[in-house]
Amino acid sequence: MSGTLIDFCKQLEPTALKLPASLLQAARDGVEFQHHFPTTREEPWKYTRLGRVAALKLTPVKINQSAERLAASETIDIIFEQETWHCAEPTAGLHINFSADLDASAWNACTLQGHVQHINALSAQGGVAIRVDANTKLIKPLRIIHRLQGAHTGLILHHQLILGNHASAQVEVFFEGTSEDSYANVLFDFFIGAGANLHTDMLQQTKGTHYGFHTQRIYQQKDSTVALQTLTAHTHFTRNEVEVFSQEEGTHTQLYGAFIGRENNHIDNHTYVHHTAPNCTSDENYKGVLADKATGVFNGKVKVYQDAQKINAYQSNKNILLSDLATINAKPELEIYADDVKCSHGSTTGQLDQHALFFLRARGISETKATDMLIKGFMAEIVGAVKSSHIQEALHALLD
Amino acid sequence: MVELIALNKAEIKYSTVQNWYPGDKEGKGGVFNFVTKRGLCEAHAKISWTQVETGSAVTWKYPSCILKGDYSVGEFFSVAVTNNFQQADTGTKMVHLGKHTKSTIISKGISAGHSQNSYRGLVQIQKQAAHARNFSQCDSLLMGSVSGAHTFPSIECKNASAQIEHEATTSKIGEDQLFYCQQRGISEEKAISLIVNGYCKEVLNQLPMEFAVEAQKLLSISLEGSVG
Amino acid sequence: MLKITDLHASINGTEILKGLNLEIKAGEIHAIMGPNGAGKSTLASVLAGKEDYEVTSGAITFEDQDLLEMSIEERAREGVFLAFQYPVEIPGVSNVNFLKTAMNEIREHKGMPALSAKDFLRLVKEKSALVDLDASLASRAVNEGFSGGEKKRNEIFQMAMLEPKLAVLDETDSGLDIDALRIVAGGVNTLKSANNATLVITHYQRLLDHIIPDFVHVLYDGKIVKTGGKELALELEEKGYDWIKSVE
Repeated sequence: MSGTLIDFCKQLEPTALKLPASLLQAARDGVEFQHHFPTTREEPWKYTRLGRVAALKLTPVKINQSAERLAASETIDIIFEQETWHCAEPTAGLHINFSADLDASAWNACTLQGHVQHINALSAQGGVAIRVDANTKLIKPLRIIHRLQGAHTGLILHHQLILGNHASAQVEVFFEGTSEDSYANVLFDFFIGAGANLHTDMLQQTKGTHYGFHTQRIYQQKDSTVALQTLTAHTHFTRNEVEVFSQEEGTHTQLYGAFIGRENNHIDNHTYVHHTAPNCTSDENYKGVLADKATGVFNGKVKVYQDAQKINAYQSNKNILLSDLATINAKPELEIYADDVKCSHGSTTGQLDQHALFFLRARGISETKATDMLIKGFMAEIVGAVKSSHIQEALHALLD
Repeated sequence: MVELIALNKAEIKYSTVQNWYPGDKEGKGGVFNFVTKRGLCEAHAKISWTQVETGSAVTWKYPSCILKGDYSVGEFFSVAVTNNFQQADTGTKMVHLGKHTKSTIISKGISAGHSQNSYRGLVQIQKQAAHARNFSQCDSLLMGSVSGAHTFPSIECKNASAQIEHEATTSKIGEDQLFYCQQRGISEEKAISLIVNGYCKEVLNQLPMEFAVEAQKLLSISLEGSVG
Repeated sequence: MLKITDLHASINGTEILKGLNLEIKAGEIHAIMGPNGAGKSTLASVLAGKEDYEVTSGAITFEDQDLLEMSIEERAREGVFLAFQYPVEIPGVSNVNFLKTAMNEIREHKGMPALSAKDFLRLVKEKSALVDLDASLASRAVNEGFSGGEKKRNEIFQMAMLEPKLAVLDETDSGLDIDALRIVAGGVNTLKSANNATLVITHYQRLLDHIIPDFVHVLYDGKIVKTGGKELALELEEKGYDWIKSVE
């Protein structure tokens, strides 16, 4: 059963998802996986090599579902562990199903962009479909945990979260565990109804030589609000693609991110905000700290379409390099076709403030402790935007 | 093609005002302007590119500096104005190889009519380029609802002692600024010319005197008829 | 000089001015006072021709001409000057260049020749002294990096340079300390003549200790609800605007 990712994709096709034929064909055309993996000559992959990924020997994870409900806790838990989904009893207005029930109408809004999403579309083995009814405000946060394990495993998941009009939800997503020479491609589609409010914090901290590909696609309707925090710490290889489709007037989108790399870590964040409707705002803030031989990539793109007037888009990317062998590649991009807009971006790369470091040491604090304090301070804006107490705690532990 | 080589402690300032035929109001005709410009700096040398681009139907131009010597300095100051159906895609590459090298990028793009105006640039700090510094400021001003302004900077840093700052803004010409000028009796056309010239001041100041006067007039002419 | 009849104006569909009447003759100083949101700044903006405001009915004549038919710059050239509540910053454009452009456009409109550089500079020197404005501010970009007081003094300096027939001072006293207030008021008083008029828009009475008005009007809910002499300002200061509301 084991083979390369490409064999693996072929094995799994047709996908477990009920993909409309046109999208399936688009994905197939896009992947052309007989002979093609993107190379660094292609702009979206300029700083991320896929050679190692192409050579991985993988066996698909067999996905089971446990009939038993998880015990109730402070959060509504959905846990993937030991190749099995475990799920808590949903509260009123909340529906949790597994992939067979993905809402096909939601697919109409989907687009497929690039290699990662194509593979997902073609070969997703399953996923969780979550629906929050209109006007339902979830009191407890939803917690989705992916606990990865084993070696040479391949896992392709496609999750869907649909927030009805004026619904609100807080979601916590975890990727953890230890896995060697393995591949995961996990996609979330967030469909946000009019006036709805979504807050999602995602922590990626899988240990081992794991190759993680993550896609978050967010489709926003009128006057909806989304805040997504993507936090990646000490992962061997992570590629994040966040794509926001602001489809109707009055949307607000906040994308915050932190990437903390050490050793040979490679952490790549791509974001793409499509402003197709007028009177919307987006606020993006990504911070990176890279030590040892770690590499970080930030590529943020904001596109304001013609007639999408009165857009206020802000994008910031700040990076700190702690070692001469660490690398950062930043590409903050603006593409603007409307005239009545206010868009700006800023990017800085540097080291910790030497004056501040000196000051702390002069007050008797050790260099290591002082460095930690300054990194914590640097990350405070991002950590502060996280609502999940579990993730807050994990981040504090990571930064200590 | 222009190549500059600045040996030890040498300094070169290369100023261009480009005003080729941009084509007519419907975008017919006009010059295609594809240029290669690059410079090499030895130790303590400085190359400064200054350009005012108002002409040509299509401009692709990326004056670059390879900062090879320690303490060398590269500068790029640019104003690109596009109107009607013009396209300008311009920017710079600053490759930092030497220690204590410094680069400054100031780019001002103004798009009117149906034009497209892009800044595309690269700042690369190589491993050995300790204490390199870069500052980039890329601003775009939009003057028509069908014009486009785009910013594509790439920053590649392989040295922890580098200090890189990049800022970019895109906005419409200030309605309140226009109103203020008009309230003082200045016509809209003239007010735009004043505001745009002010917006480009940092770059225009880098030009030699006689060029600066010429450039200011060109800016006004290029934007004629862009109101309303 | 200025006659406003039954003026109605709205912004984004909300009516702010609801039938305002006002007449100002040459040589007069009028003050408009009123609580926040009464429509004071709207009146100033409508007089200057700000496009965000829509005049739905009523008329404004200025020197027997229909003001509402004129463009923003035509009004300015005919002699309507607005001292902004929040003067705008224009980066990279020097104060001197800005003023020279404005003056020469106004002179051209009046059929006068452009001012020579020498005469212009002499005028700058003379008028900037009037409001105690540091000459170095003249060479800086318009209002950029100016303190609140400097911005307001710069407005009066521009007024002195452009010599308008009707000066509208929109909350010129806001954000000024007592010294700056005295300087600004001094400037306005010096520029006063039998041929021009001043409309002072303010929330507080304190500016009117320095610029003595001939008439004080109370603007409330888009209309002038009370008119009196300078003592009305004192009465308002003492009793507050609630008094007017209760009178109504």
